[in-house]
Amino acid sequence: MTPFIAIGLLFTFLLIGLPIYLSLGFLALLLFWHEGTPLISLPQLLVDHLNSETLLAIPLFVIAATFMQKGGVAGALIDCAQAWVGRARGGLALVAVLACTIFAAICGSSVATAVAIGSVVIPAMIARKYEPHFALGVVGASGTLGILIPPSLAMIVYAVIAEESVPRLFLAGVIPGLLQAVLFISWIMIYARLRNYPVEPTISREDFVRMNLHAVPALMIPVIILGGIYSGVVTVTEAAGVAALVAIIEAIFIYRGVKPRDIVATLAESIKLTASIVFIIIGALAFGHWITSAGVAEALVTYVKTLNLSSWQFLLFINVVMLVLGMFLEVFAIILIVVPLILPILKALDINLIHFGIVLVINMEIALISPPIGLNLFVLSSVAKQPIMVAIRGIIPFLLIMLGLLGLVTYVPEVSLWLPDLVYSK
Amino acid sequence: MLEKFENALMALLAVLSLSLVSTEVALRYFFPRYLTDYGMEFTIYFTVWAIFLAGGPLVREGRHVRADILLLMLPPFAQRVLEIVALLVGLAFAVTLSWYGWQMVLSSIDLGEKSESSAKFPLYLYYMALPFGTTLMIPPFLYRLYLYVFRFDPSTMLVTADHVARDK
Repeated sequence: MTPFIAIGLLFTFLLIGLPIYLSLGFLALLLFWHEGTPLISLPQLLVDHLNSETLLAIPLFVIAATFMQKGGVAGALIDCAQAWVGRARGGLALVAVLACTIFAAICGSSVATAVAIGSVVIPAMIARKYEPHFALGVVGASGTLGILIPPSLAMIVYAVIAEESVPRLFLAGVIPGLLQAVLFISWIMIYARLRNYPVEPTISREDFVRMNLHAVPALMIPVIILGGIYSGVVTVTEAAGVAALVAIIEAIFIYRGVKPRDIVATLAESIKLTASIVFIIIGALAFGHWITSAGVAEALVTYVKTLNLSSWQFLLFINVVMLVLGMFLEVFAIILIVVPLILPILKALDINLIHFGIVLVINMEIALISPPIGLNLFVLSSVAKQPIMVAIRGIIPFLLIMLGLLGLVTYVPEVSLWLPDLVYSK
Repeated sequence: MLEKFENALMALLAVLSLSLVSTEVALRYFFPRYLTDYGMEFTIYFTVWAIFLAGGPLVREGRHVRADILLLMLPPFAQRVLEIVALLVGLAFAVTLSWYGWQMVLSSIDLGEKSESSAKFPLYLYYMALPFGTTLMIPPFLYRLYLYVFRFDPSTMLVTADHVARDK
């Protein structure tokens, strides 16, 4: 079967609404069968690939994210941020960005970040007479930092498929992530002045200390995760495990957002969430195996070479493709459909895979907030009980900022690569 | 009842992997000589089992991720047809994977495959997660097919979660 028929079939499956894991997995099954490969090699391939320490980081980070989201940690972080920046004009909006940035360093999921921070800060913003669309836009866009600032589930999934180093990818996300936060803060400061948004009342010195102290246990988590990984004490997976354990303990005993009787249900929920990702990974692994073993990779590379694309043209092309896919598909689905297909091309064009990983993740952030079905827009409109159109209206300026960031990170590789190259030398 | 049991089982496996990872880290830091070479291996086994056990519940709750934007714009009849197609494809996938998965388990028993660590864990117990999980996906696929074929209500488009909830 030619690659183009296979890819055509894939998109037909997706279009008629087959679940993503089935679109990839069933196609792989058909392809294996068509090529006369013994079908017993399919389950064999899957269990062998799942027997991986990197993959194990996914459920552990999902458990950490779920407990962090439900655990009441967000409240403490928001208080802490408010103690620092509440007195600037548009203070609560700045608090939202700052709290999302810190939460992103605890949690590897954008949706969890947006929900955790949004459910506390959006009602507060609306009560203080911020326009609802602005409140939803700020949190929806800042929440996407969850997958850009380490730890990041999206980066782990990419690392599994591209066989890249997770610690390097994590480091590469730091500067673009901080840059995104700074860009958002600058825009908010301008907009808040235009709209004359309120400042938060001055707080006493005792309150300032108390608010900061209360956030210390939450702030310990990124220190444990990143400190552990980069001092070489623990692997990424072990860091994820420790983070999950600490998150559970803090959610139950310190911030008390999760009651002891909810532990079982919350853990099971995390496993189901993980499974919905891992099933897609299974499909992608099977499909990816066919791509390399059936010589499709070479065919694709030869085809792209005849187009005489330079690497920047290819990056532009793939950015456009991912932006379009991002309007209709979910983050992990896009990564797992696109990456196996273009990996051989990236290698042939000598594009740095760590750099590309960050370009991919920023695309995924944009996917989370691009209408019609950006997931962050939907969860926030339901959290804040506002119509989806309000969220879409509010997100537009931030979407434009993100497109600018995407262009910068795509064409100035140093923005992402400087830090990992510094730490690991090349 | 079934849901409670599944949840408890998944949570138990999650707790087991969590405690294993944490013990491993603590041991390495404080008592490196008690460190085993199979801690991570068992963590993986527990987690993969938990993940495959979640396959069935995800089918039952209709929660496998899909792009349904086009689907939702179609008239009820077309939606119903496509949903049935999706369920049939899913059923075929689950049946094939579990059939060949069990064969993989049997051949692993015949070969007596053991893990490479000092635990020498019989690998078929790990492999079994896949056919076990995919086999458990078959009944919910059949049940949802039954709902779509015989219990579809075009006026409300109610079939899945709502219908299941009503049937309870």
